[in-house]
Amino acid sequence: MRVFVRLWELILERFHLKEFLEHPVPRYSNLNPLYWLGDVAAMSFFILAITGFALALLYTPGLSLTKTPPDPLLPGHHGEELHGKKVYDATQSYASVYQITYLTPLGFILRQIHLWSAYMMIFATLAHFFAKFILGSYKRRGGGALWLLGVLLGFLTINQAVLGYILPLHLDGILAIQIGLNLFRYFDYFGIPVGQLVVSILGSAFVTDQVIKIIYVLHILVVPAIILVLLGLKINGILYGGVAPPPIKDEELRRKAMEEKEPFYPHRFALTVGQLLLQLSVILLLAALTPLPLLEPWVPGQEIPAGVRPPWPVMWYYTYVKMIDPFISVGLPIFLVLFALVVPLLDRRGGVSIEERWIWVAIAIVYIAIIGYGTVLGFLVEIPKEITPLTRISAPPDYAVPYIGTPQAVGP
Amino acid sequence: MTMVNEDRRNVLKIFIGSSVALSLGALTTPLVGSVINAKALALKGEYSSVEVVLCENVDNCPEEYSVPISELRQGPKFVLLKKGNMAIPAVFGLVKATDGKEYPVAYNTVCTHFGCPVNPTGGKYLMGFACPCHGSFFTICNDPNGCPADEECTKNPDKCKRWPFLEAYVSGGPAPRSLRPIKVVVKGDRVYAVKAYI
Repeated sequence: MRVFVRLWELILERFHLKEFLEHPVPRYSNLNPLYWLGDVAAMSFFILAITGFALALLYTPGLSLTKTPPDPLLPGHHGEELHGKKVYDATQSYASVYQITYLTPLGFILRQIHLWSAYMMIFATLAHFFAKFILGSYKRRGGGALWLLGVLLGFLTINQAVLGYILPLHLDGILAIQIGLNLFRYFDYFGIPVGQLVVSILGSAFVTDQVIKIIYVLHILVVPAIILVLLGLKINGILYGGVAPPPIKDEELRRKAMEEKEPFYPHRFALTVGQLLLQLSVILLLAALTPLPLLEPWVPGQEIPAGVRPPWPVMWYYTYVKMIDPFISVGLPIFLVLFALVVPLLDRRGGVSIEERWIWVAIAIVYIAIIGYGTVLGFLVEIPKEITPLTRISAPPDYAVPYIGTPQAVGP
Repeated sequence: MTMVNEDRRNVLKIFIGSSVALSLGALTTPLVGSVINAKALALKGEYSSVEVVLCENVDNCPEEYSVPISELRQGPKFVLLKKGNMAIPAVFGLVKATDGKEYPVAYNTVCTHFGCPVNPTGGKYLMGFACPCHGSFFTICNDPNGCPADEECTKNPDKCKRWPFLEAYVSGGPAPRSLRPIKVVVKGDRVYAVKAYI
């Protein structure tokens, strides 16, 4: 026993882990829930990495057609009979995810944990963003750089969610990839051939084996690697630069709160571990109560039912894209990200308490309201053309490609 | 401590300076680009589309790019046109024109709004396409003299802008431009796709 204790002490000493474990954490950040949300997002990322590793081993991307039985969680399917069992035409990707979900031991719970932690990561990322917006955490020294990293990480998180949503190539996944491939074409209308560049890199404007392979590599390797590096930089910045000052107006009280510190281990460590356990139990509970079905299969050329909706993280974008002219609405995410990036440059005066910067708190609420309003509206109503706040700009006639063949009649 | 403040000021200067330069560049590049390139590209009529030649000559065009006319008489048919690594989703169909004749047509079924695959509408004859995602609707012009493009046509039928024959123009929804067409040629009893826009 004494050998193990000695070994543990040696590890702590040789890797300088003692300094890490004993680094001072301000007490107010352990008590205020606004300082806990980043941990939830980071822990979700590690849960996603572990479950994702297992899923990546089991999944095979591809578009070749195979026969698949219907999804037991999704009633009302129509399919053809084969050997007395209902089967569908589906892509290799879909059949592979079907195999993981319903025919692999522990595959179902693995996929559920992966999906629900992905949703939790997005929710925690958004909540963390608004918490730091309201706290004005970019006002401290080094805070601006961390804010910049955070905005980039949030952008990558949403990207990662969309890439992962595409991989099973179900009906909604195919719409996601088609939108992803064609979204950049709006740059072409302004004379910047970004859309054509994307098409020439991928080799197609429609999903192919090559495209789905690229999406797979991006989802399991490239984007997570970038997230990991940025997350490491951010944690390092917080470790040595400290967290956002408390939102207290009185200078004396604020200084006092900032001086009151606790060691990371065991105070903050216990909080993080407790949070992780709570998070895991919430994920398991959600997976048990509302398991997410594998959606309908898709094959090229299949008719797509009207009224399909995207998943909630991008629902707000769907709503605005449907009701506002595409030349304006297509750039909404770029506008929101750019605005988030310049916030530290605009909001520089005054303290960090809410009374001193209520105008920026109001802007943060408007920012969250734009996303929240679009999300709720997307779920509630089928948007009619009449309620559009901005009317559609009719395209100039030059934009149309005339019918390029010489019409040939074949009939009587 | 003055050193620290100086550093901070310099960092802020660089930060603001590069942001201003970047945003000026980001604002002016599309403006300049649109002024210089827009007209030249628009004249070609190929704006935001890439031309793909499926076969140079209809005589050596492979069968996989074709559909028998007898099959098109049953209704529109989906064909995934494959060339190298590229896949082009195409719907072939027959359009019943106002002159009473049937014309074989094919369109690239990627919606020009956001790129969802569109569903063909009409029964035996192809009449248009509906997008399931954001509700765009494309109607195929079936008048050999062209179809009225705006409301002025009811008042002044001779002078208004008209959509060319067989153009799948936007008749509803948010799509900014017509569906990309595929050039078809009839040889024997089959319809061949020879050139596509993606």
